[in-house]
Amino acid sequence: MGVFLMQWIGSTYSPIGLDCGSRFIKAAQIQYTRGKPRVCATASIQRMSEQLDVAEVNRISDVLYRQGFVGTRIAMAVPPAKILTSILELPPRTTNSPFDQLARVEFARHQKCEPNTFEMSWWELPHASRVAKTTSVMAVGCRYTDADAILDPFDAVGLDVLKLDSSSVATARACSNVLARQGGISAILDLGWRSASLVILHDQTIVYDRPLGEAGIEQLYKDLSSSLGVKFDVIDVLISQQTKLSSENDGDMQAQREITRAIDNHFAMLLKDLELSFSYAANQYASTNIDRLLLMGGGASIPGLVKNWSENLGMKVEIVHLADLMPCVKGMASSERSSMTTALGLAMGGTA
Amino acid sequence: MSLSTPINLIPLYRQIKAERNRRMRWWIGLWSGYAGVLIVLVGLLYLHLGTSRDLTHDLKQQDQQLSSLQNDTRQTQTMLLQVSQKLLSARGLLEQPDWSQLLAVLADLRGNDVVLEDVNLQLTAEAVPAPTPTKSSKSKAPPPTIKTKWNLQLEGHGKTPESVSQYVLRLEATQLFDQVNLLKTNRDPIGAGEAISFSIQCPIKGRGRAPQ
Repeated sequence: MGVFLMQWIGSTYSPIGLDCGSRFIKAAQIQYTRGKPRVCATASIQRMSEQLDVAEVNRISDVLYRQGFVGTRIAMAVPPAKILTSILELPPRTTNSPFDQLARVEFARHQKCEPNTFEMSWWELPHASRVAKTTSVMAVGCRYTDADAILDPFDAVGLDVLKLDSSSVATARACSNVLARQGGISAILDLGWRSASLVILHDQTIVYDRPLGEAGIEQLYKDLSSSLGVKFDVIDVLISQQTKLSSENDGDMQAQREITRAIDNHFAMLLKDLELSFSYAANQYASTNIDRLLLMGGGASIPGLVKNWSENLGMKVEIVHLADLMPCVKGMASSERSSMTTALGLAMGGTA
Repeated sequence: MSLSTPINLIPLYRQIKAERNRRMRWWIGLWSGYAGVLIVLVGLLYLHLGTSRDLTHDLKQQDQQLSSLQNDTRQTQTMLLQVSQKLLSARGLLEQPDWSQLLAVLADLRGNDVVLEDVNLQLTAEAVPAPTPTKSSKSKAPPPTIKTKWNLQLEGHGKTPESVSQYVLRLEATQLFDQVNLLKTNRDPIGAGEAISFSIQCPIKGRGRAPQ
């Protein structure tokens, strides 16, 4: 209905997709011109406080207005710490079975809460290779108390939150154009500041969603800051320019070795987790192999990561840029960034 | 399919409230639009009626002006009729000879020796035969033309026969008449003395015209 209305009107705007990370808040908006979408505005707003309170939301609202975003409609994701995710094994689905109620009760049992204290959504997973008499569903949810705490400041500022989505689903939605062929398995790794999350898709259905708590690049920055004695801003520059450091300068060589060693150490555990997750998926859907790993988020831009991981994991590793997912307006500075993917997915889902 | 599954983790009571607010905003917008359209229509209608009212007013004024002009025309026609009648009367008067002047002339000419007792003016008519057609012409003879003439007849007394003769001469000297004929003279006793009574007939020059 929304898309039809947009096409009928000719040109209109999606809700503002708002991905609230722990270091930056990323925002993206889509303009539909005669039904053709293109990214018309993006913003990366540094967080001033840990809490997303009224003052912080007010500041975000002002920045969005200044950055050229249109409207007050928002589509946002539940923060990773507040999202509830479970894979449920339910009885075989029949036409008369109260599947929604069954899923809700089973989800409440998994999350150890009352069935009437959360909002949830679920989708059926493709049949695994092993024969099973149950129906597997993946469910995501958010407690009412958490949802109210997220939404109240936005209500107070006058922003109209239309959707509270799952960031994994939003990310996968944004990447749907570049995902693997039909029947294949793809993985998306979001390397965030404080945490990372891995999503594995089979036939464009999320079959695996796992938060990787310690894999966020904040710990890497902390380690480098203590060993080199510099602030995070300087580490940003050092990491981005590590391949350009001179091999003739001893100081540069030492810094480069230190950075490379820290990066290798930091991601060693993550690589093991990835291998385990991929082997699980491969066991579940034995007939297929994992095609490729899409990298996104702030950590994806670390130089050398793609090449190193491709060699270690034995698969194609790619960084997803905003411009790969959807056409952008000319001259958009963030079109080469990968950190806007979730915000774009939220904006895309906001009109569905 | 998870990517097409609509996911909204906003609590249901918030969704219902937001939907209610959205519907209310939509209805308010709709009714505001409807009210706006109505206001515009009423405004247009008012403007249209205002123009009609002006036209009616103008028409009424024109009607009044027309009736006023018609009254004026009627009055003017009456005046014109009166003036025409006056003009006709004046024209009739103008075309009637001023016999008083003739009487004044007669009175001036008589002097102290002549007294006029009767002044009679008569219009006489005589038929003048048309010229006889020649033998060669086959056409009929034209009808005779009628000639009119004023005849002035004076009767009175003179002291002496010479005074009467002098009066006749003075009448002839005016050249108002074709001829002055002294028809008769008699010696009449008046009181202790006597006077000469006379009767003069003088046809006036020119063609006479019947009085209007």
